[in-house]
Amino acid sequence: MAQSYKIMTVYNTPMADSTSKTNNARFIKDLRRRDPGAVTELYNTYADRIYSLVFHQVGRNHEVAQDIVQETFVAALKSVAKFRNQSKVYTWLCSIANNKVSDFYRRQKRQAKYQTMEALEADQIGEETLATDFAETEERQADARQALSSLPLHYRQVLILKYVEEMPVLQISKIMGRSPKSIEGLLTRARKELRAKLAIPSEG
Amino acid sequence: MTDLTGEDEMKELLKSVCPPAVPSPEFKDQLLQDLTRRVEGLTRPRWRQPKVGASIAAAVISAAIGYGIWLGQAVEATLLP
Repeated sequence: MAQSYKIMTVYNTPMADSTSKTNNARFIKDLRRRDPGAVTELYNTYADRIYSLVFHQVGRNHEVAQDIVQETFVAALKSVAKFRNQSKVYTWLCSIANNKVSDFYRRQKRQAKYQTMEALEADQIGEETLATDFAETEERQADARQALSSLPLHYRQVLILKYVEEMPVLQISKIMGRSPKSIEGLLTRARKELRAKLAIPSEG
Repeated sequence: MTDLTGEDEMKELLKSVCPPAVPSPEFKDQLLQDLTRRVEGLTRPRWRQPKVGASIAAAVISAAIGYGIWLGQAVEATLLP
């Protein structure tokens, strides 16, 4: 079924209008009917964005990110009937992805496993660093990357959603299932923690 | 040390640390195939879905075996004086 949902991507901008909302509703309806065209459109529009979001939340580990993105899309297809069309599709997908990332970390009970991930990340950072001409900037970024990775997951998630995805607090609150006031508090604490990590040289 | 006094500095730093990551084409192909397969599975008529189909098949086979046994006994009873 070759349908176009191009206006849907417009809906995912702050300047959504009633036409795009209608189109979005049609898109969701088609997704509920498991229309292959709608599923392909969902994948084409959001796979890269969700991947990027998850990738940075899981310490830049490609394998883990791939597993979580797959779980996210499968869960989205299963739960599309519950989607009320009150939030943007991207917000809904981010919410599922965030929960999947949290599930992943809950499964990581052994500290050794987490350390292995950090070692992998350090390897990747090392490889990327070789390619740059701006050693100082790279060093600063590597420090920041390490600081971000060492933050508690909910701090990392809120910082990425706010500053990388540039989402408003209300949208973040929908994704993280908290009140906007709670998100503001979380952001304050996360910023403070990140600043502290960057100001204090890491031991070893 | 990084100066993170303002929102803009924080945004600049985090954006530089978290540039857009692109999944591998192999993964994307596999994901699309997986989603398509799952959708096809979910949109089959109920009786064609694996669990329902297997249950129906098991019921039909059980009925056939039961009928065979009953028929055997009935024939035996007819033939014997």
